[in-house]
Amino acid sequence: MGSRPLRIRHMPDPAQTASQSISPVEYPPIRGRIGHAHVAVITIIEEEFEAVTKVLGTSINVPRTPYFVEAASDNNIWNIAVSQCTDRSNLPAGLEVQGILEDLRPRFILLVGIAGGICENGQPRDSISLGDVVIPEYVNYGEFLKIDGNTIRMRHYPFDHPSLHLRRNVSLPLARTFKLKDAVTEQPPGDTNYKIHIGQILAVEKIMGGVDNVFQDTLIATFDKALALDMESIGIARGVCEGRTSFWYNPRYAIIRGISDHVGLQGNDGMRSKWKAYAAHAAAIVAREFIRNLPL
Amino acid sequence: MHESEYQRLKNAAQAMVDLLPKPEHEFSLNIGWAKDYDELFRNRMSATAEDSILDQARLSGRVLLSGKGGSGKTHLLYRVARKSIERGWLPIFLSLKSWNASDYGRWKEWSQQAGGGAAFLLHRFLNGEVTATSLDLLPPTVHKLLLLDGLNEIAAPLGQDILWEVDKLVRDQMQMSAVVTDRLTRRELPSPTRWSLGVVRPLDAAVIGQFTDGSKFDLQTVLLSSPFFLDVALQEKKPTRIADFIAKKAGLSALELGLLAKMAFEAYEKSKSRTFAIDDFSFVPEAVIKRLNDANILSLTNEGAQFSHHLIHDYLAAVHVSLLKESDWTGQTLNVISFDSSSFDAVAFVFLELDQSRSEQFLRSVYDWNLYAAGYIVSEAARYGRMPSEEMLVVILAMLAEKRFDLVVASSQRAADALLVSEVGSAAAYSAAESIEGIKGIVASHDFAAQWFKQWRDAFILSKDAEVDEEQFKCLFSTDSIKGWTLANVLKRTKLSEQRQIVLKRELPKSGEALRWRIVHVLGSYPTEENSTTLFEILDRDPEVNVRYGAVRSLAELAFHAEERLRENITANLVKRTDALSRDPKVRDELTKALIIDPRRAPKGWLTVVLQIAREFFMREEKIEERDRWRSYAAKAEAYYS
Repeated sequence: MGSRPLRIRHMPDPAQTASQSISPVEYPPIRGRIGHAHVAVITIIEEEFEAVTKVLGTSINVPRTPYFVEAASDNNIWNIAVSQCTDRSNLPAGLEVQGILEDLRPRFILLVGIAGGICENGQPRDSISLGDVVIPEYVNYGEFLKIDGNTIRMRHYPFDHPSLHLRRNVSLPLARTFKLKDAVTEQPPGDTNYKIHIGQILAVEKIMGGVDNVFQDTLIATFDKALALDMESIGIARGVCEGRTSFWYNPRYAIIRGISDHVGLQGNDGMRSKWKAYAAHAAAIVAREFIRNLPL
Repeated sequence: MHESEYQRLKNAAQAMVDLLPKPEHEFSLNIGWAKDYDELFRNRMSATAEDSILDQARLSGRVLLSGKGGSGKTHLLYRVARKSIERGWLPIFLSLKSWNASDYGRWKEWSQQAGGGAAFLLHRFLNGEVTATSLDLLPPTVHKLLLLDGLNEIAAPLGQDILWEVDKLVRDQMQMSAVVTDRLTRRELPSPTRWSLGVVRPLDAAVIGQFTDGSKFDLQTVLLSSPFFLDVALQEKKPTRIADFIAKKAGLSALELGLLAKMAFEAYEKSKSRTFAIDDFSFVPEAVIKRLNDANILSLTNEGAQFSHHLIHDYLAAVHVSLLKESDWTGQTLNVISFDSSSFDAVAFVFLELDQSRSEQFLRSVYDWNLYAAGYIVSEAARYGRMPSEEMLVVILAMLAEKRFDLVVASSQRAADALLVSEVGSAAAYSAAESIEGIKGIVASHDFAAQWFKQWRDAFILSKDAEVDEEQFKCLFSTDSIKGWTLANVLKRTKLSEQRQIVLKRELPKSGEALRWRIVHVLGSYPTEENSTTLFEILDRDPEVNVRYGAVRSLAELAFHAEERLRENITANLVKRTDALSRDPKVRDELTKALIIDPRRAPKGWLTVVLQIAREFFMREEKIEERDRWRSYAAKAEAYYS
């Protein structure tokens, strides 16, 4: 897959005669401080990074950077660059996006990894099974504000949702046509539906104490359509929104999460340990297909 | 459109560069590059010529050039601007030297909105001709270089905020780099790995020799390694006191110099900046102002009046303070000339203006106000060859060194930095001591005749199992701040009986601010329910912010020393007070600093203490930047204590 200069053809001026020729205008890709990557893939935990670099073939490190690419490049232009966040949660994810946007000015950013499937009354929403993959269409998030020590209010700040254009043109067709079962090369540790869900994700806040905190429980109940839960989506969403500051640059993003556990069920930690490697692999497989179908 | 905008900005940049002053003597400088502040303060740097600055800016995106006052940073930046144009870059030069009093309010207003701070800087210092949008309209192949001079010209907290805005602007713009000048102080850098830290090195003997031919000047004078002072010396044909230089250049009498010094001080007092309204100082005759202007000592613009170098303003303000009565050397006066402890250059100049006996008294006043300022004075005194008494030198270095072993990371780091950059030769031993016992050993080796020093030394070197005698205990109540604070620290690390703790608590309601502060400081080492109750009462009710500040720090320390139940109790009570603390920012900030303790000494469960409190503050903050601050704080605590 090549990253070729964008060719733009001028629209003809109606006043121009048919005999006049029209020249295409070529723009080189927008470069960041290090170079340019067409797609930047962000992972969080070690299992996610291992799965993604293996599936995408991005094993070459760009010297003195945290980025891994398919092959070295003399002009520092790559198709795909993969990085791993320094830590879990929204803040490091947001900082990672900031760094990538500045360094590589990628056209597309993918957050690829694992997440917890949300359960209600002991049942996973939308019958989501372990090993399934969620591509969020919408990121839910709310910050709790405590006023005068007692009253609780929610606050929001600007962030981007996953690209609607990518959802329509890549995610939805992929969910309907891609045979995940035939594509995975790792064995799932148990039964799975091999399904790709398009739905909502709920991002929670690490400083609030993780999923066991009573405020997080309230969030889960409030956002009753969310299928999966993670701690990084809002960091990516905010980072992309805040990074879209130039006329010349319009990054878009998507999130691809393999389900590794069921939030709220007994034995959740054990479930995650058992399924995280496979869930990361399934997400990486879907990510590879996603990238193949990206518009150039 | 892009082409015409590019041409307009390019022409404006060229015009700006053409107008930049070129001094009669231009000194080429070397830059020391350090990986981080720890390496920088330990002088572990790789040196390059100043030509490397642009390459470094391109590579990392951001360069922070630090240096002492008078080290030549501004003219260096002018040369960088000229070189950038030669490379085909677009320089955008912002000088904070013309920051004035009203800018503080306007900054606060503009920076309410995201990106407002950067927008204010461009609007304010480029007369609205350049905005972030107009820069963005330039083709993404144009390399833009933001040059920001004088982060040290404004109060430290604001300087910190500006650094963050610059960081964001560089990130958001296509192909932008930044070079910022600052004094030598540890800054909290946004995205630290993306900032190249450089220090402007003092001129070496070879460079000085080129200008002075070695025969007319004493090349041992360290002063001449500063471009500012070398320039003055070359103009005068000899190393010269700044006041004499000004008086001679502008033809001022002693009386007129005194009026000028008063104006310099009151300008800082009124405007908290180096730009001021000349009309506010009608006591200085117009003829004097004209002479100063003609001599290029004072410039008069639409923005206001400004001395040609901040060291001149500092020096004159210091001359005024040196003429005051000793009783006027108060914290308030020292806050004026130091911009609320942001810069100690003027404070050091006061010391240098005074004769021996008055300078010792001044040093004590400074010590009472700010230990780090006292440390800075002795370091600068070494540069100028004007040392305080041997006794005072030992006291200040020892008190700084003791803080190296403070439980609180920020305190120990600051003390370590102060000793590492000190120009005093004997500071190295204090810096290298591996424990408080090591420091006591150094102190014990000094046997000066002065009685007060013997008393001080005997208290300082007491072993941790000892109890102070009655005479030493009374020193805590002394009006002599050196005796008082030394005893406060000694009582923290030796044995203090329950009876004496009760005595201290009984003194609280009858004592002045300084003594209450010392008492709460001592109580932090003795984890009892009663001490906890007393400290919370002080936190809730004391009218003085410094005392509440001391109380909250001691409560954090008490939580560290306490067994689990008392620790949980203290944490729960601090959590209950987060609403009140949110309205008391200095005290709240001290609590957050005090909770980040040496991870090697943190008790089990310390992370829970920090996160509980951080979460409560997080949930009370409305602004997204403040909530981010708490997120970062929680992440930092996790990194330290997980």
